[in-house]
Amino acid sequence: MDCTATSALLDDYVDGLLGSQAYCEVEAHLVACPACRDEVAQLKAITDLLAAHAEPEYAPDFTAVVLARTTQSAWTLSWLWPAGAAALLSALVVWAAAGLRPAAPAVLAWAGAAAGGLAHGALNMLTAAAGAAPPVIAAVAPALTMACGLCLVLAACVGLFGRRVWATAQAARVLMV
Amino acid sequence: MITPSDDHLVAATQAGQSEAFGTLVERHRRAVYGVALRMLQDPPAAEDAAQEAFVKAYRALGGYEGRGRFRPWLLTLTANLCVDRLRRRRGAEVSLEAAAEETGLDPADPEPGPERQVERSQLAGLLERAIARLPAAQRLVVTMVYMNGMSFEEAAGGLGIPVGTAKSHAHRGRAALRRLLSPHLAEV
Repeated sequence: MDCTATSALLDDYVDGLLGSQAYCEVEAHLVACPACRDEVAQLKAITDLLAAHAEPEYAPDFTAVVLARTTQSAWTLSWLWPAGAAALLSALVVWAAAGLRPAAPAVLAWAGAAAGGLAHGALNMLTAAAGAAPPVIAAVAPALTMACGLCLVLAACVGLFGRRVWATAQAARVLMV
Repeated sequence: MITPSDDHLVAATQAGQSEAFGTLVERHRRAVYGVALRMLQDPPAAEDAAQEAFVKAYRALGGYEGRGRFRPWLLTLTANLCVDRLRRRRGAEVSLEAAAEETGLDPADPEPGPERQVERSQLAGLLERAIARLPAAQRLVVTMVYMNGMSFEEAAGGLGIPVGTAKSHAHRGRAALRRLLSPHLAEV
């Protein structure tokens, strides 16, 4: 094997990718050829240098930021739709129980979902500002989000139908008296 | 204390233990950031890309089944993310000839005398600058294979290129680095 043929195999030789026959042929040539030996030595030196090269420095809070971003993403995926669904369900329950006007459930559902979404967004902003999700916030987030939706639904009920309920109660009191 | 394997930590993350994913981030962040930095050549952009790579990995873990191959999978994800970003800002590549001129690594000028006594740390700095001047494809495969221990098959599979092409990129990149750094290699 001459230098030209050997040179074409040196990369694979250094990378340990040659078959046994080609490997032996290259070895035999290297014994007799200082120029190819020098080329192999330099390729190995570069390869060793690359393998031992330290990775560059990075921001010290890298992991905390990554976890905050994953937490934020997980909350968005996990709680936005459940919060909206809970608000919608609560609106339907209130509607069914009270026998309200046909337009009422749509208004209540929209209001509840909006409240849940707003609460959820506020929690996400809190998380981003803190750099990571504090365990307490993470623990109460789902309940808080749904509670916001339910509160707004109840507030809307009182606002829309409170007068009628109050009037009915007053009439019942008068009748009882 | 037994150090948990990547597969163990992946399984724990899939089961909802976010602290397990934190350990994975700690374990691989230098490699991920290294790939991103060498590809994008811009520390703030590389940091953002590295963070995004971990977030993408976190979201994709539900369907991850590459037992024992988390690191190659993660680095491939990072590389592809960086390739996408590079495509958006085409024209940033610099030729090797220009690199030799810019970095002062001209092989024809061996810098004789005391200045040639390059310490290993200085050589590492020269190596980093030389890698930065490689064409993007060579830089990427050299980083994945020679610096992070991925096989040519893993790098090629992850990048969607033939194994022969991956080898060609790696060997050309290494040859270019050898040409640029040969005056200093005797000092190692």
